Amino acid sequence: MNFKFNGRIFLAGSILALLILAVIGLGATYRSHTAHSSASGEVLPWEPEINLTGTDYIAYLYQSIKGDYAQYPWVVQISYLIVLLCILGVLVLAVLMSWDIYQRKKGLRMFARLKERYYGTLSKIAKSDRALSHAEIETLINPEDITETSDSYRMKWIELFILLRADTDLKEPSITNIRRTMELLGLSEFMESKLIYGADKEKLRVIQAARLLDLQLPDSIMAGIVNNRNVRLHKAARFYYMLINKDDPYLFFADDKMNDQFSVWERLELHQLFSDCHKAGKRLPSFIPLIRQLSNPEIAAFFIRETAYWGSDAEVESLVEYFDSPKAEFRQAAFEAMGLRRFAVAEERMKACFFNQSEPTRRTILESILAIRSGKSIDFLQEVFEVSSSRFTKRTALYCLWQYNDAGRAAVLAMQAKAPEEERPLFEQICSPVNSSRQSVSMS
Amino acid sequence: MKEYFIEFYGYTIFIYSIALIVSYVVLIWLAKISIRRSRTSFVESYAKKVIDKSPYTPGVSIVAPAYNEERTIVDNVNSLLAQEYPKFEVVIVNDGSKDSTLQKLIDNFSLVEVPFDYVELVKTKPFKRLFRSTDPRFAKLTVVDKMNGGTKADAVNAGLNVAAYPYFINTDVDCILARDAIYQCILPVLDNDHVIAVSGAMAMSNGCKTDKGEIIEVFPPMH
Repeated sequence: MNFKFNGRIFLAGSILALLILAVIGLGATYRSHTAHSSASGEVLPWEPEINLTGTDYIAYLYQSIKGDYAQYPWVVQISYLIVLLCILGVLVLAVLMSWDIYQRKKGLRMFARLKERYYGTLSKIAKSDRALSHAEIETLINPEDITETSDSYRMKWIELFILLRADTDLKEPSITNIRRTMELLGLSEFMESKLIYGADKEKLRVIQAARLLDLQLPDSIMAGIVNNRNVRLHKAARFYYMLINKDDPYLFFADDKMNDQFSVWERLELHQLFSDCHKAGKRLPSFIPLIRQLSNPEIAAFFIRETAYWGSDAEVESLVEYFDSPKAEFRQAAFEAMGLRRFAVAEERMKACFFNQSEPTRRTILESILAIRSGKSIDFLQEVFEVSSSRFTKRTALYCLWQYNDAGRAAVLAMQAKAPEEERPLFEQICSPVNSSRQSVSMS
Repeated sequence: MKEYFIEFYGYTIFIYSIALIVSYVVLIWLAKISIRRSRTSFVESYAKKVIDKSPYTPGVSIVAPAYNEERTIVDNVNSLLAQEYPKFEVVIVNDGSKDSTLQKLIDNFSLVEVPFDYVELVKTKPFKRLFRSTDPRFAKLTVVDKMNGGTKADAVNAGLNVAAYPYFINTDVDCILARDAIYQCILPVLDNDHVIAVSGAMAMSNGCKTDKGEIIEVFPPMH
């Protein structure tokens, strides 16, 4: 007989057996040294000997719940109660966690099956060079074969579409084809029903999916969510509106309630959103007036950086005013923006205020000068290396000089020849070809 | 008086023990609730897409100390290098191994000693050398060679002194990480500014079938 050993079942069985033995063992330990016999047959701690077999232990537990051991010392009763509750708590947790793991693995298997069976067809539909009719899509996908209707199954379908979206440029006719396929599979209706009846976390997922798939959700439903008390949901709905709305949906950033928290994830998500809007030719915010309205310096600094990615040259030039800002976040973001945009016009202004900045901000300026690479800053970088007291700033200046251009490299080699003994390792590190391919300015 | 102190001592131990047991169970439950909350916040494929493309994605350094690990070092470093995250590096700290751990790394990953201006931000036993690979396939690998410090913390601190990224994963070189381990660890950190550290679920891999640093079939330990 070919016996296949199932490790997971064995492991689950072992854990369960261990927990049961632990409970039984606890009872035995508890009774040791204190057990005596009683004529009534009731188990009492002063009995000399107790023999528990089979269901006796359950009876013992039942009697304890009934309150038959009320005469025990209170310390024993409390200990017994707490230990029992803890064991039950851990047992329930073990069951819940096992269920979660089972569900997660089931979901992964479900997704893998869907992907294997339908991804190729969906990809063909999405990448078609013309808008396909419902009938044509129906022939390709054959929705009658899809009999499962559970929520988790439909969520997996949505995830499959998201994956498809990641591999496809969202342009016409792809958008129409994807939308029609989703309608045919009943996913559009499913998303709407989740938005109305689903839990907050389900609504959040549906909005994320709609935003990513560029799907239009009913305004009547979204209007309620935009002012939801759940801040995450509220923000997700606003982000969704940014993508689809032609009015000015960006002013909500000036809302203090929204600005209490601005996580890194929100930065990532907003950047992605702006990128999607930019690709779709949609309107992006007027960055400078928006930055001026923001009360949270972290969000303002984020928008200063975003100006470098998506703003006009005039807007980027306006950021120069933040070089002298009393707020360190603004200065840091403005210098970084110049490097991101490779905005050569601001190079001399950055150099002029370099020595008024903190060491980390100085390193940001050096990185931006390297990114701009105008060829006019070799003397400046040399000077920074020579006068800096911070070892990290010296390292960044030398690295920037080495990466700058041929003249910069020649300058580094000349400096190396004259360098004192203690600075030689730094020069060797910067000039090493293996290190050069690995290093980035972030090393500072 | 003596009896009074003994009784007081007994009750103190009793309360302490009960509080300890209850706190463990409460902590496990809180962790479970927190995991549940964070897991449902994202459509995973969407989160990965955003992280893959964003310039705001923070880099992560995987710091793994190695002491006399010649038997498993090559496979496990391959496993660490196979992470699916856009911005990461692997820093292996050879903590004065007496076997051929370092030599195996040099031979298998085309490592060469490179000059490095070591800045001791955290004090450790003396740093000796730093190695990097000449093979672009292993460009994310850095190996630090240092004197044995006797503790894992000393080796990790040396790794942190050369790490390039703001976040780090502290693991052992005999651990196998899931391919998306960095994603799973970084998502709660990105999502909530108050989260500064996370831990993964750990299980024994003895007995499991592995291929190229990835667990392909799970079995409990047999020996």
